[in-house]
Amino acid sequence: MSRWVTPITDRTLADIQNRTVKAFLNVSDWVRIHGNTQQVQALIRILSGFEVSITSLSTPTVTHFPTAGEINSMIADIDRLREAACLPPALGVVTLKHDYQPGLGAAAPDYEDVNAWEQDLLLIRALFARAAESLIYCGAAGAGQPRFWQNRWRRPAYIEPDAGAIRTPRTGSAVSGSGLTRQNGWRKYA
Amino acid sequence: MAKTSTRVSFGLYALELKQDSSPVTATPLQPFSKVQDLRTDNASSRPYASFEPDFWLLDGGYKFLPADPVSVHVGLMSLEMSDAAGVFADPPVLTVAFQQVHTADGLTLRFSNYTGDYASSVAVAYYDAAEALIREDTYAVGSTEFSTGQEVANIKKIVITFQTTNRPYRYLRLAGIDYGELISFEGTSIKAAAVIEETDPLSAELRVNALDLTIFSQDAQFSIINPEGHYAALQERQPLAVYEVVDNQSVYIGTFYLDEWENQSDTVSLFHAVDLVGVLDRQPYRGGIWLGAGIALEDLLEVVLGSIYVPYELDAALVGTVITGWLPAGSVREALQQLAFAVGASVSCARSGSIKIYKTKVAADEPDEVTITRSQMGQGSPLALRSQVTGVEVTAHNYVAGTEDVELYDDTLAAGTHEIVFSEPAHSLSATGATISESGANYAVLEVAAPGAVVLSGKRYIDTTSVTRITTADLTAGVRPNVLKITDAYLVSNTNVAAVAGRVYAYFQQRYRQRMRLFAPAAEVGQVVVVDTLYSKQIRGLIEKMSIDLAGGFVAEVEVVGVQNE
Repeated sequence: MSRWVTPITDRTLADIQNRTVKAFLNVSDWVRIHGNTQQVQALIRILSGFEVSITSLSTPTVTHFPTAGEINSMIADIDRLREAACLPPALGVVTLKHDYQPGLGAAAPDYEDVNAWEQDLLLIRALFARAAESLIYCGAAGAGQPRFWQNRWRRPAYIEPDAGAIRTPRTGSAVSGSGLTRQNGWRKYA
Repeated sequence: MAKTSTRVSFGLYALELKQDSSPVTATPLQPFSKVQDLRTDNASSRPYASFEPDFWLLDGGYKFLPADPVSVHVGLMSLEMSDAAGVFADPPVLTVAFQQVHTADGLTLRFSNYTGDYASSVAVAYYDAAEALIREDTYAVGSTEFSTGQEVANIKKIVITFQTTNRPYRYLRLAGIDYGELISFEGTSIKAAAVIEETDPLSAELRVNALDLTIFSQDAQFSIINPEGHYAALQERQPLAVYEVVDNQSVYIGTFYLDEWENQSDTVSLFHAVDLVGVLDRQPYRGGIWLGAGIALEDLLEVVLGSIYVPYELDAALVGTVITGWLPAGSVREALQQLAFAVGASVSCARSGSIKIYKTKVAADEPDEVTITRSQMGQGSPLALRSQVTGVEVTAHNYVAGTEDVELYDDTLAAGTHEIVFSEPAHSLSATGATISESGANYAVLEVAAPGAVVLSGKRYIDTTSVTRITTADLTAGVRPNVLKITDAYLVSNTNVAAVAGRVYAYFQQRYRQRMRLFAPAAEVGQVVVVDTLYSKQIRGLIEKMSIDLAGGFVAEVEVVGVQNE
């Protein structure tokens, strides 16, 4: 799996009119978008355990004529990640069109569409790590289970280490119900 | 402030050479490429997306290739790509053979207009009937339209070798080839150039875009009374390609075909040209009738437009729409209007070399494509209220084959071939005094061996009509009823009348007409826009008309019809 590459989300009409480097969709853009999709898929799997299926797409070459089906698959992958991330639209993630058709009379993606694909990936990656803190890990939930019972699997929020404090507890992942003595096992002293 | 100028290219092409030509190539081509497109001239101006470096411009105009190559018309497209320097390792070669020996004023090559790709170095060799080389030249090409401008006589074969491309890593894209001279006017040679682009979203009428051009030329070839001059060539359907150059970027305005020519003085000529829809007005179509299961729209368009090699683009949303009913004999333009109205399509040639047929947009329900702010408009942008339409009545026509014999024609005819055109559709034709060599629902071709009385008989189709009404409920007192009636849409039947009536009614409920002046507008006719208007409000509407002064700075008078934006 390739590394995360900073997406391009600021293409403008001026880019198109002036034919800047951002105005075109090249193989490198495809590789970045598909690679970032795999990155976000892995992030969601690690943080939540959700396995979002994404299409296995081969990397095109410069001789390739992309089909509507290939592009639709790539966008649909991003859209499934958006759904799995459960991020509210108010945060800026948008539903993506992935029903492009072939032919001269059919609609085709423009720079705003491609901005939206990459913006969704960027937002999911940035926000899902924080959103995951609010997830309740409950194994198999049972009807009538009290809230505190489900909290056994709650994962505590990650706290940035305090640079100044010396006796800051560092607990890795805290164990529900464990006493202070046990937590002190990870306490770090200067 | 952007700098603008206009460029107009005249094609003075010898159509008889094209009709006699047989372009072939031994060079491997893309599987969807058809070299015959060069002869039929139906290569599309729109590109298909590919991953050639810096090729797929994200303007929404690069489309996806259909799986079925039959419907693809790109002209000649090589399988080999040029290298990093734009050089072909195995240069594509096109051979054009002729049945007869010809003289050509020049050779014009048209490459990919939309993408700006062309072969930058081209070698052309002419051969005579004895296969002897007449002459061979290598040209440096500088634009997507190139003319050798070199008269060559006794041509029996032309061999064109495309050596390099203007950009690295490109397929060769040759969209057209013409035998004749290409003359370009630009700068101060163009005294005035104005284009009117229009579309009717409902296709109640098929509007024709027009170009009015005034050029200054001291060339005697542009004398209207010179029998050897350009006028003789331009009388036929010769294309005038129009471009506006904005800040050194060439914007393709469209291709027009000469309609009228007037010499105002020895040096000033006026041209009036129309777009492809205007050309179709002179193209006859015999019509037909489709009952029962009907016919798919794409199949009928292939008959109406494809058979006469008119390039068109059909909206994917309309593919599969079934047509039933009657198309009267008339022009292709009339037939296309009936088709578009019945299926809910708009038709436009604006900014395209082909006819675009796309789903009707009722602006109130469509997402906007462009926003036009007050700062982009010139002074004086009046907002008008269109008269209220309080209802629509659409007549549906349902045809069944009648059984009663009727006389369709009874007269004396001279010996020879005669075409009889019916005012109403008929079937089961028979004739006395002549033989029917060809017939359809609207016509019969009679072969008369000896002069005399000819009687053509047949059976009529019976048209049962029904009317669907939609009226505005709760009209306030004082509002005068204004009901729009549509009676002669013969492809509207019981199956689609409700949709047609709903569409017409919805369109006429858009009562605002916003006019404005824009400079070098990015918006085009047929697009849904949101426009700043009076009282700090906005209008969401569709651009129905643009009158563009190309020579006067690319200034457009724009008309938008729509509703107040919520």
